[in-house]
Formats: sequence, structure tokens, C-alpha cells
Amino acid sequence: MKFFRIGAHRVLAMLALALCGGLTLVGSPAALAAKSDNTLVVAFPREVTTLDGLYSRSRENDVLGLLTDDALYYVDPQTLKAVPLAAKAHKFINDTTLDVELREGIKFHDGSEMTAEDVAYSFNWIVSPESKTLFSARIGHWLKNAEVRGKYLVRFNMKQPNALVFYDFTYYSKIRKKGTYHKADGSLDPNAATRAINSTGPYRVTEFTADRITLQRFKDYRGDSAKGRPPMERIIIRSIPDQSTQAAELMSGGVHWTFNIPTELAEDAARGGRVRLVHGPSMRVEFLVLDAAGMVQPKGPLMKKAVRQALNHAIDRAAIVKNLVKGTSQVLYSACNPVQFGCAQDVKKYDYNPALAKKLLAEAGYPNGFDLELWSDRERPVNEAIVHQLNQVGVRATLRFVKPPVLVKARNEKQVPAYYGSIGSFSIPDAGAIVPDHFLPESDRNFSQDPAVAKLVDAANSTYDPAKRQQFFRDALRRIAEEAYWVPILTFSANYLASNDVEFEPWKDGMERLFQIRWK
Amino acid sequence: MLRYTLRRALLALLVAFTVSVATFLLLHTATDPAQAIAGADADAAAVQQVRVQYGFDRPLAVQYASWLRGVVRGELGESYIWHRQVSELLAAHAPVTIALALSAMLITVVIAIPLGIVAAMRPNTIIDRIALTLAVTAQAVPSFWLGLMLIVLFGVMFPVLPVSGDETWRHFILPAVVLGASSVPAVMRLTRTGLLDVMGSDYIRTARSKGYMTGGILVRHAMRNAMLPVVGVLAVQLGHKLGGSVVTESVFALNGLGRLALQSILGSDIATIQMLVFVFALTFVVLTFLADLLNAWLDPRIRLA
Repeated sequence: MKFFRIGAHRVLAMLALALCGGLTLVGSPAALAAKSDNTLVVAFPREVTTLDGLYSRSRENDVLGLLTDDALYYVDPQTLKAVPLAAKAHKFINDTTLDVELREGIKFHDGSEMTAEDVAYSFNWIVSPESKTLFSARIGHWLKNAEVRGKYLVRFNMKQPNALVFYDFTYYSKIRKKGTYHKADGSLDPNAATRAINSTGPYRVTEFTADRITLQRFKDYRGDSAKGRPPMERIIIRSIPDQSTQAAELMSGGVHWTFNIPTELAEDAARGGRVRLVHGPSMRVEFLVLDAAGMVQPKGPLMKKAVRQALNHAIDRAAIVKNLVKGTSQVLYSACNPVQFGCAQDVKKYDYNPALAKKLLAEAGYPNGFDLELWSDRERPVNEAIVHQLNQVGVRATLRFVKPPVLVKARNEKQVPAYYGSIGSFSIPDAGAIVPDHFLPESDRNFSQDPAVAKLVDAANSTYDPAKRQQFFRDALRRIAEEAYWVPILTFSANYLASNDVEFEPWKDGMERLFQIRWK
Repeated sequence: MLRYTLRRALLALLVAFTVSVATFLLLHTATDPAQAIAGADADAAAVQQVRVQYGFDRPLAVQYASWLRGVVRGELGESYIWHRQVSELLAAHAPVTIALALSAMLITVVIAIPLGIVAAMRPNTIIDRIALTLAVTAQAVPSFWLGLMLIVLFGVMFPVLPVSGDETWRHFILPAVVLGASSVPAVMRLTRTGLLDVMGSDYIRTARSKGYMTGGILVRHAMRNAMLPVVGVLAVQLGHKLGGSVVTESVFALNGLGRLALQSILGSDIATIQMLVFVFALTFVVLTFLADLLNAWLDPRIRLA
């Protein structure tokens, strides 16, 4: 035990040394970015875990993907139409064969030219089972394969018609250099683009660490791109999980822009005038899904149409929008976002009428209400308001607030009689991006199992004729509202906090296009 | 000693194994990793494809055995979220947590022990009362609140310190204060109580009767015995801090093990969670073992027993 005989001062000295050593391990100071060197600093609430958007479905990767990747098509923020980006034109040979002509002269970040070989390789990789991309099922649902028909011509051989094909060419697919995921020895490497990416977008990645991504404007990016020429020389993305800290960073000048800040916090932060709160539209809609098919509770009260209609009348959505969500939020009546193509608004609308709700409940055989467990994984204040309002009409509702994976598992295992749903549709401005996922028979989210609705929705997604699609969706949505399968609640409001130095317009589809932010 | 060490090492492994089985079962029964990977908005087909691709459709026992086999072979597995080896992730995040934990412990020791000594030397005086009030207040203040207040004070009102990130040593000042403050009450009160007990002992009276000065008695005789329980508590506190301080790391955007754990749990990243739990459990066992050795050094009666 002799070696233990060291003085207390030595112990403290060792501790201090260990501290210094620990700090040295952390890394060197990074340069402070600012307007003077044309560097925009933005904060993301969640860490970007991979640069390869094919392997992440996070919003952060969607936003990053718009900076680093140019897909075949791009959603124009003004018209919300899918317009050619890396593509030049397209031609349907028949309903299931599509030729896409590519723009010439598009450069990858390594300087090489993008050709049909790269595009066909990328799509064939996405649909191959061994790729493990998170979009294999979505793209593979309609795409058989892609083949090279010329240096700048790709043919897409489809399994079935897909009305959303051009939107699927926007966010769900990325173009990689041919051979990216294949090693020299022929083996596959799905992680090849996780830490370093070679793509064709307006920015290339120069640094990727656990909490920071530095992007440099790509000097060979073409001027005629539908995205335009980005004004910022550099963009630094920092990961700051706590939203209060994000707001503090904005106020202290360490960050120029952030998004998805809760209204109350954003209002507080903007009160001092150091930062600006900008409300923008969002594609996200929120709603209650009810066990109308009795999959959770056979012969349960929610199987009765009058009960579901009563719940629709029991909730004061206007008050929730006005007092809790605020911003651009609006009351929702249809099972989709009103800005989405095909989202008919001439559906049955349920006003706030607690007396009528009680009457409908009594008529349905529940004059004393019934027990209802409402599951949710987000917007706690909104859910508490809903539960309170349901209680007011006699429904003994309780809130079961859980983490998202728990809700999803319970829902898929048919343990959830009603849940608070929230869908952003990947910012796709088409009802086909939300309605099928909730009303086609194979979906875990389909709590109504109405074959009539399913037939209409399937038809809407299988035809290219806009007029027919609109009619199919209208009929489906009217039936959904009449049967009160959902309680549509609200459209979400996107809250942005920005420094007074930067200028940007909120985007109609809520998709954050950072390459459009400029200095004042 | 060797036998004792081996017994403790075996116990550590047993604890880590039990915790890993429990974690594995909890994750699989409460959540659906396939859905977590595919994303909350993913449709049923996408989720099913992920389930098959990642082998989540296999029986739980088979999945666990497969993971355990990998660990035994030294393959900690690959993170589904980060698409990197878990060993790489741990190596990347650990330095931040180690730096934070050591800074916080330094702050705890520097504040709590002198405060405890002063309180013990002047029991039931105004100084003692002030020290106790400070300790109780520090115990009552939640870490996230203290963190946010410090951010507002030193990041917004008087912007003299960075409020997020871990690039320089200055980034660690505020989080270290927050994390260190949370341990001050326990350490301070134990120091005070221990010293009060010891100062009333016969051998201290004897030392006084021999004419030793109070300071000499304190340093040479009293502190050594009074520190026994403090060492144990410091070890546990360090274990807590090394085990990832989720709140502090999140508030100050420090990319340490706590934040890694939080993200892994939210994303049902089983491989990462399993290894983090293993490492955390092992950290506790090792630290308490070291505390035992230190106590043996401080008190010869322990090592003779």
C-alpha cells in the first residue's frame, strides 16, 4: 500500500491535469462565423447522423439534402409543382414507361460530369434489396428498374402507374456517382456516403463532425438551376438540441437562423427585438384517428358514426388554434392539408357544439359518456385541451402521452383506440402523400378499413389525369368526413427565429430551403 | 487482494449482463426499432422492409445471442442511426463527457469540501447556517433551470461565455458549474457531518491536549477519517457524471455520452444503447471499487479487516 502514500495536493494536481487532458481531447476552437465572411450559421434541433439522405428520414436530412443534392425534380416553392432540376424533360412512352432526359454539364462535387449511367445506377441501387435505403419500399413500390438509353437519357420501367412519380423524384431519391456503393472487390458498402458525399447540389460538405456540418458553395454549380444561385458562401449547421439554448444563441449572435421553435418560446425570444419571429405555413396536419373499424375494441363506441361525429363536435379547434398553436395554424376539416393538390374542402364540417355532441352521444346509447384513452406523442398542451373538452361532453377521456416509438408499436399492435396523429407528408403538396397511408387496407394507420374509401384512394394514385385524381380524392375525403373517421384538428404553424441580419420568406410547403436565405 | 479484485470484476460483468438483457427486452417490448429506423412517417411497407433487412423479424433470443456473440468477439456492432461502428461512436463522444465530468468534480471538490470544513469548525453559527442554506438551495434547484439561467446571464445579458458546443475549454465553464453544483450539497454535508463526528473523538482531544494547533489537527488527523464517506460519495457522483449527464449535455449542446444515449434511446438504436448501458454499469463498478481501495489507503483498519 506504499504507493498510495501521496499527499492531498498531489491528488488535486492530478485531477487538474486530468481536466486539462480531458479538455485537450475535445478539439481546437473553431472560427467564429459571421456576416463579414458570408457565412450563415443555422441551428438544427437534432444531430445529422449521416450525410446520405437515402439512409435517414429526418427533417434535418431533408433540409441538408436540398443543399447537397440535386434530384431529378424539385418542388418550386411558389407554384408547389415538381419542376425539372437535374432533369431537362420527360416523356411517357406508356403508363408504365417513362423516359427522362437529363441536363448536360451537371457536375458532381469531384468535378466529374453526371450522366445517365449515374442516374440509372442510383435508382437501381435504391430499389435493390441489399441497399437497405429507407426509400427502397417507397420507390420499389412502383419502379422495376432504370436503364440507360443514351448519355443523357434514362428510361424508368415501372411496375404500375404512379401519379406521384415526379414528387418521388424530388425528396425520396438522390443521385450518386456510379459505383458509390460498390467497393473495388465487388462487395457492397451501403455506408459509403455516410461521412463523405459526392453529389451535385449547390453546396459541398467540407466538414462533418458530431455536432457541426460546414458547407461550401459549389463553384461549378450551374446558374440556370431551378434552385438559383445561392447567396451564402458558407453555411454552418450546428446541432443544438435544447430549443431555449437555440434561442439564446440567436440572441447572443452565435446563430443566425433556426426552425421549429414552440410558439411561446419563440414569442418570448423575439420580445426583446434582438431576433425576429417569422411564422410560416407548414404541410404538417394534426388530427385524431379513431378506432372506427373496432380493431382495438370490437363493438366499442367508436364504431358508431354518431359517436365519432359527437367527438368532432366536442372539440373547439378554433380556440386551440387561436390560443395554443397560433402563427399560421388553421382549423382543419379535411383529412389532408388544404394546400395539397386534391385536398377537397367541400366536405362535411363539424362546428364546435358541445350540446349537439352530448345529444349525439345520448342517441348513440352513451348518455353518460364512455371511457376513452387518447394516445399521443407530441403537442401535449393541445392534447390536454382536447381531453378536457371531451370530458366536458361526458367522454371520460384520459391522455396517455408516450415517446414516438412506443406509440407506433402500440398502434401497430392494435392497442390504441384513438391517437393524436401528425403528418408532414414530406412536404409533398399532394393529397396522395397523406391519404393512402391512412386509408389503404395494408396501412397500420388505417383505423377505418373502409373499402369504398380505399378503392377511391387507390384509383386517385393510379391515374395521371389531374381532373380524375381530384374527383377521386374529393369523393374519398367527403366520405371520410361524413363518416367522421378522423377528427381533423389543425394545420401546423412553422415558427422560425432569425437574426435581424438575414432575410427570408417562409416557404408555402414548409420545406426549409436554406440556399435562399440572404443577408439584408 | 487478487481474489477480491477478481470477485469484483465478475460482479461487474454480471451487473452489466443483467442490465443489458433488461435493456434489450425493454426496448423490444416497448418500442419498434424498425419503425424508429424507418421514421415516424414511414408507411407499413417501408417499416416491414426495414424489419426484414435488419433482422428484427427474428426471435428476440436469437437477436440477443447474435449481439452477444459479436461483443465477445470484440465487435460492438453498428449503429442503425449513425451508420458507424459503436466503438467509433463511443470514442468520439467519451472525451466530452470525461472533460465535463472532471471539470464538474473539480468544482464540487473546490466548493463543497472547504464549505463543509468551515461549517464543521463553526457548528451552529451563522457561517454554518449560511453554508447549509447554500447546500439546500443548490439541492433544490433543477439542473436545467440553473443551466438556462446561467445561459441567460452569461450568454445573453452579459455575453462573456459561449452557451453551446464543446469546441474550447470556455464552452465547459457553464455546464461544469451546473453539473458540479448538483453534487455540492451531498459532499458538503457529508464533510461537515464527518468532521463533526471526528472532532469529538478521543484521539482529537488527545492531540489537542498535546498542544497541536487546530489546523494541524484538521489536516493531519481529522480530515483523513472524515473523508471516508466523502470518497465513496465522490466516486458515485463521478460515476453519475461519467454515465452521461443527459440534461446538462442537452442544454449546453455538448456532444457527450449523455446526449448520445438520449438520441439512441429515442431512435431505438439498440446496438448503441446496449454498449452505453454496459459502459455505464462498468464505470460505476470500477469507480466504487477504486473508492474502496482509496478508503483502504485512508483507513488502515479497512485493509486489515
